[in-house]
Amino acid sequence: MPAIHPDNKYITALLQNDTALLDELYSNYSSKIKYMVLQNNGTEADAADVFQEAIVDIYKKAKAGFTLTCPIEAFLYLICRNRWMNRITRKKYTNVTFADDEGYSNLVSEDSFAEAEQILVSQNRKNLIETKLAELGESCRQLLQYNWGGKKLEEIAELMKTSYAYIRKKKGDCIGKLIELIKSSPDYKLLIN
Amino acid sequence: MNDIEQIEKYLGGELSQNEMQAFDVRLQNDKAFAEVFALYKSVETEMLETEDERELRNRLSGITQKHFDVAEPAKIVKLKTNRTRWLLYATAAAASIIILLFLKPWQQKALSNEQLYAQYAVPDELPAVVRGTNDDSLLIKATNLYNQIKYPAALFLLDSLVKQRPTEAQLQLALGICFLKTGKYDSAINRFDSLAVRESVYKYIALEWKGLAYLKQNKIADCIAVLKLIPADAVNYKKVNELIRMLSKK
Repeated sequence: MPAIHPDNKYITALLQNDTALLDELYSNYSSKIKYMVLQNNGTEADAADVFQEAIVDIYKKAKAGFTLTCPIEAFLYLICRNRWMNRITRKKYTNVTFADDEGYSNLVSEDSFAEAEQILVSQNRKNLIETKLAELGESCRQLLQYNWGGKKLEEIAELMKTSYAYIRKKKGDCIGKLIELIKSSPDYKLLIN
Repeated sequence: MNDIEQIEKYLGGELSQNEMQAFDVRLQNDKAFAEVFALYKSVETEMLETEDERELRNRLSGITQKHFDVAEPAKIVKLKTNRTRWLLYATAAAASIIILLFLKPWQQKALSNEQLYAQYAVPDELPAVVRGTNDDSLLIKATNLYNQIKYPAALFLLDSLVKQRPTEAQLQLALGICFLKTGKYDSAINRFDSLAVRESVYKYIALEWKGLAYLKQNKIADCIAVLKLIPADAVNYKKVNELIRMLSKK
């Protein structure tokens, strides 16, 4: 088992809701990510999104018991880079330059690489689901997004001015349609393996 | 009961003992059903946002806004439908009309410090680099980013460039402006100061920017004091004088 890196304090900060330390995390590392995204056809808002979502990704890992065995800067860079690369590849940009890759790749420990890889797989799954979600009708999309966003079916029924029984049935239908759409995609096995 | 209903009841613990057993047997024998079940679980796992994740996102969006220059908080609400988008445009258009009608900008009301700063703090572009040696690749990148007003990105490159070419006043000025535009006021003022003590065409331009750095921080007295150092024969005198006049009116 590789030794825990001192930067694991940031992982603990995420679990313990230590805002001061999270602020420090941003102060220390956000500019590098900003630079990487801006260099590669992105805006500052894109960079903000990439950085914040990377932290949420790390938080999810932390909840599952992940500990950091390399500098957080390198791990964060890798996750943000993968996320951004993924996004721009979908937009078919070709002129990409990840100037810091070499330096950081030497710093990331092997198990952290594997974790970042898993985060990327999960992101690809999400991308596929979101693509198919966009093909659903608006009411289905809205219902599912409310539900995934934490709203109970009772609340959704109220919001959509209809009955609980109807919403419950409708949700099943919508998920059913979504799964059909996903199954029609050549990449659907991504969600099974 | 269709497949999805069954799956939801199974996962929600709403099936009877017998139904559960039948479900498990079907999962073993019916490959297509097992696949739908796997997809259902996968979709829920990827898309479901737990309460604590939601709270984390909310907490982070404040910190994100502090460290990134974003007009809207990062990823809280996604505008997905054309209807909401249309509504947004319509609202924006209506808002502009209201602003025009009520604020009457054509009546030349006194501008706020922020508006004055926005009006004056518009940097000149760096000249396009035409030379093509390897040495210039950093300069080309920096110039492009700077001219595309991507100041945070240009900052990194200009900082390295200025270390390589400490005598080039134009790059020093651009670096100072990058510091200013990214809220690093002390570093910005340091750069402008070092230019203002040197004889170059940028001497008084640097002083003007120093003044603007004070304006940005609402230090109006400091701003005026610095701007008044610019002599009448400087190229930017007229423009600066006008700014002083508008600031003194307040």
